Amino acid sequence: MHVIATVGGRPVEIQVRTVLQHAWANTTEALADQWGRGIRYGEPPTGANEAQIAERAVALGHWRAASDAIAWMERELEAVSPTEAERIAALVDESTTPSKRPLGQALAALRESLLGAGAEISRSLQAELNELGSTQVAPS
Amino acid sequence: MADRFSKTAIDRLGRKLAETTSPDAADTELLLAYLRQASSALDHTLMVVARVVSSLPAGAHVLHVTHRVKTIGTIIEKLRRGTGRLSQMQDVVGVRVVGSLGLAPRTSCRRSLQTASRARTWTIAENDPATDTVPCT
Repeated sequence: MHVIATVGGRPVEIQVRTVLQHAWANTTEALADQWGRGIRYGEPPTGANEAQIAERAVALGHWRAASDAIAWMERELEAVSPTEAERIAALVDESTTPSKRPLGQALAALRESLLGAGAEISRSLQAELNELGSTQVAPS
Repeated sequence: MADRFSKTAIDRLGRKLAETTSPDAADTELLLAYLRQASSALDHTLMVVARVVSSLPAGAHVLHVTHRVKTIGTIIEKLRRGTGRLSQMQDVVGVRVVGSLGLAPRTSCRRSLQTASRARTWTIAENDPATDTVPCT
C-alpha cells in the first residue's frame, strides 16, 4: 500500500509493506548500488564487460519476476483461513527432521535458485532476511 | 519579499539542481531549508500512523515504523531522470510501516488513514502505482 498524505500543505509518502515486499525492495536497492541506480527504473544493469552485463540482466529478470511471485504468494495466502493457517503452522512446527521440513526445503530451493541466478542477489537477500530476524537458511 | 518556497522558486531550484553536477552553496542551502520545512510534517504524520498501527486487527504484527527525509543525492538523481518537478515530488518525506500484514490489516490501515484524512490538516491520495518499486495489492 502506497499513499500520499498532505499534512499542513506538505506531502508525506506513507508505505505499508509486508516483510517479503520489504525484503525485495531493500535487496533491489542494494543491487542498484552495485549494478547501477538505473535498474530501479527498468534500465539494464551496468557491469565490467558485456558478459557480466548479460549475466546480470538475466539475473535481474528472475529477480523482477520474483516480485510478481511475492504478490501472487501473498494473494494466495490471503485465501487461507486463519484456522488453516494455524494447522499449517503446527505441521511445520511438528516437523523435526530436515527431510520433513517442506517450508525449509522450499526456502533452501529458493536460495539455490537465486544463487544460480546471481550471487549478489542471494547475498543481499540473505542480509535482508538476517536483518529482519529470520532464520538463516543453510545451503543444501 | 517573494516566498522562497513558492512553487515557482522550488521548481526553479529543481531545474538548476538537475542541470548541474555540483550544486552551489546557495542552492544547497535553499534545498536544505526546503527539506527542513517539509520534514515539519513528520511529527504529525508519525502520531497518526502510530495511532493507526496500534488499532490494527488481531493477527497483524508490525515489525517497525521508520521515517526518512530524501537525501540531496537521491533528489538530484530523480530530478535528472525528469520524472517531475521538485515542488511535485511527493516522497521527499516518507514514513514506512513494515510487518506481517495481510490484506485485511492493510485495508484496515488504509481506512484508518482515510478517516484521519477528514481532519482539515490531513488529506490523503493514492500514489501512482507505476512509481512504486514494491508489489502493490
